[in-house]
Amino acid sequence: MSDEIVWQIINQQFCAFKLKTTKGNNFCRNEYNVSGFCNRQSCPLANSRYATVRTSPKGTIYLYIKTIERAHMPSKWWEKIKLSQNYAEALQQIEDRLQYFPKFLLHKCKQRLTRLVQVATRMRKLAAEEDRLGEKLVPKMAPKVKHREEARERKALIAAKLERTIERELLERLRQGMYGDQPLNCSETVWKKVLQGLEKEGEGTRDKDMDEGIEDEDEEDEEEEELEEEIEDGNVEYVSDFEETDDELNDIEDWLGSDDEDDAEDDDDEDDDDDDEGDSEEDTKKKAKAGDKRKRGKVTKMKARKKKEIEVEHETDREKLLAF
Amino acid sequence: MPSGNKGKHRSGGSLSLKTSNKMVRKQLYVKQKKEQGKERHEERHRRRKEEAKDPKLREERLANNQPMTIERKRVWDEVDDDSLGVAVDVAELKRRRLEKEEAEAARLADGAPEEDEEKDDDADSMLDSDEENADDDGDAEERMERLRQERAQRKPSIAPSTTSTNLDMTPDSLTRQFPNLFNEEPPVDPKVLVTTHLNGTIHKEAEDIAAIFPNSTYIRRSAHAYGHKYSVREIAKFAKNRGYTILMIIGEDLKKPSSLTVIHLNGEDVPPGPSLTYTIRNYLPGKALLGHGNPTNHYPELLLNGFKTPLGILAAKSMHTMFPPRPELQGRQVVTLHNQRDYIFFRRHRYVFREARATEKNVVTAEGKEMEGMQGIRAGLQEIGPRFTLKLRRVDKGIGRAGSEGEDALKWEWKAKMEKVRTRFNL
Repeated sequence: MSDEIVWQIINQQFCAFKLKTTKGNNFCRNEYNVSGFCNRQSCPLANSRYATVRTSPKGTIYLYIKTIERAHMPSKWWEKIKLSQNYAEALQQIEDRLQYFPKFLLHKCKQRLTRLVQVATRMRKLAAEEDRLGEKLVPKMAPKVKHREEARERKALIAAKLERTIERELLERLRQGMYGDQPLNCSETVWKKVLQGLEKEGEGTRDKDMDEGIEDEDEEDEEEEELEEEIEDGNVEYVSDFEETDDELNDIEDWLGSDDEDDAEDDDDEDDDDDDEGDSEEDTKKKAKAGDKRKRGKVTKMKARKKKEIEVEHETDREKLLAF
Repeated sequence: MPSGNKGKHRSGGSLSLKTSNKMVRKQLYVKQKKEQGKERHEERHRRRKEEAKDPKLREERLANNQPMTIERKRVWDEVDDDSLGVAVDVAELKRRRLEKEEAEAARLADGAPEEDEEKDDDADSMLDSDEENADDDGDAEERMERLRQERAQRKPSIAPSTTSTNLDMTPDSLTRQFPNLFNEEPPVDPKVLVTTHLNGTIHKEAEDIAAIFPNSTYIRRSAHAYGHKYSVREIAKFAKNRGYTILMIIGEDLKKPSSLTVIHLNGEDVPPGPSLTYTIRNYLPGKALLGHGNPTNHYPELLLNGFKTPLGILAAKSMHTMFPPRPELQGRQVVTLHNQRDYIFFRRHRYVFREARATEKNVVTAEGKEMEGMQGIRAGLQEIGPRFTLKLRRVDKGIGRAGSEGEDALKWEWKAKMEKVRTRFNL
């Protein structure tokens, strides 16, 4: 009887939960409404015998039952029954509990249970997929931070002076001989110029040759010979003393060689002094090369080249060489 | 009326403002300007003449008036710690420790003559002048004082320090934390696998980025909208099985590459190593660069500039392993990763050593002096390929955030509050 009165008021006068749409549907915003519509059958306020299925925030599904016996105690209206995780069992539970309830409510509760279970399953699947993929969308940077970084980047770029730096670094490497003594990335003329420059700065000495034309030819021949010899000899250590290798002293150039001997010895001393790195490897290599030279007894620019602090480049060696 | 004119003269202003006659006012203004600048102009003129006669004066003047840059003002963390995340100059730290040891040794040896420690000319460019030597006493103290004074007198450099990072300077804690990365002897030839985030659409850019690294492949992430989407961890496993050493994932935002994650897949028996995540900004493909060149297949040379702290060294080493250890010099290509104030600028150039033209000056070292022995030689550069800026954001122990386990799963993360102090940098 009182249900009728309540319904009359809700329907005709005012219900706080009612939501009217333009299409003529009336929705009910009450959380305990089983169908979501504002109907005589579905209104939880206008039915003293009612049942719904809802989830808790954690995801467990409960059956809520309202009976006439408790109609006068609003705080105790809803009886909360936890349903089993198993879908079939849960359905059975609903059937048991709502045995004597109107078929409408039973049917709607079952439908609701089904839908809630499906949603829960889908959500779990998505979460698992997200977890497996492990890729999270990184939130966008705050605009203030973004602007700050942009400005700083611009200024850092200017401060970096990239092209100058790169050029400087490359030339530094060339000068220090990281590209070997016959660099592949340098043309002959430029390399010669570099060597000349280095001599001027005292990082290497060379002999005075008066006649450049002939020397050039000799150089070329020597280069080839050099290469061959290097490959043959490997890392054999020669003691660098001119007197030891008297074999090929028959050329005129050997006379020039005697000058170089002095130079060479001086150079060695200088080298030993100048050698900050203290790489014994380097020394032996140098000596080996010097030894090679003397053995052949020809004396030109190439010899001088050898005495400079030039190493055959291996990537690891280079790293060790690179100063911080 | 004569009084009318006088009424217009305001007191307290110069003639060039007060005069009502525009033409006269103009002339007065010009005159005023000239006079203002006259003193300065004369001073400069005189100085120019003097310096033309004696260039040393100019050098002195420049050396005394160095502009104050942020690099010079750089602030380091005052701790004797070299873990990741501490802004410590590794070279400085090493030297300080050496000093301490020497002081100890000197104390023990009790006055035995001590050699001057090796003065690295390159390393002092980022000097912080306070040296902490708590355990000094007696002779050692004097010696320390002397050294300190000498060092203090050396002037810091004008330009940012550009010397390549010396990877031998890695602190021990770093080598312990990342053994696979730092103890690779002999250096392995890298094999790079590049891919994008899920549903990535920047295939062209990703291919370009893949082309930067020799011996690399780009594979699209999802073949089909409903196909099985492989996660990064799975991809890493497959790549490792097939012998790849590095896995790179390019993230995008609005059709532009926006992030780069580098995952080091180590060899057999070793779980995948650190993954470094960078953000990419200002990505420009080769086409957008004026006068760009085209790359060849040669292995490029690598230039790593400006990595100073332990974190910086880690990043540098990581990038070092991405490229083949032995560059093909005949290709004359160089890849530069230049760190400046925590921004890593990536550039690719083709270079050639050539003689300087008549109008070109000689190359100047970081300290400001001309490079010895290189008069009249310059390196011409032509930029190739993409250029972008990277900024390191996080270092994870394993494969990204999800693939790392343990307490120190997250080795380092960028936080906005690190940027509060303008002069403190992490790399």
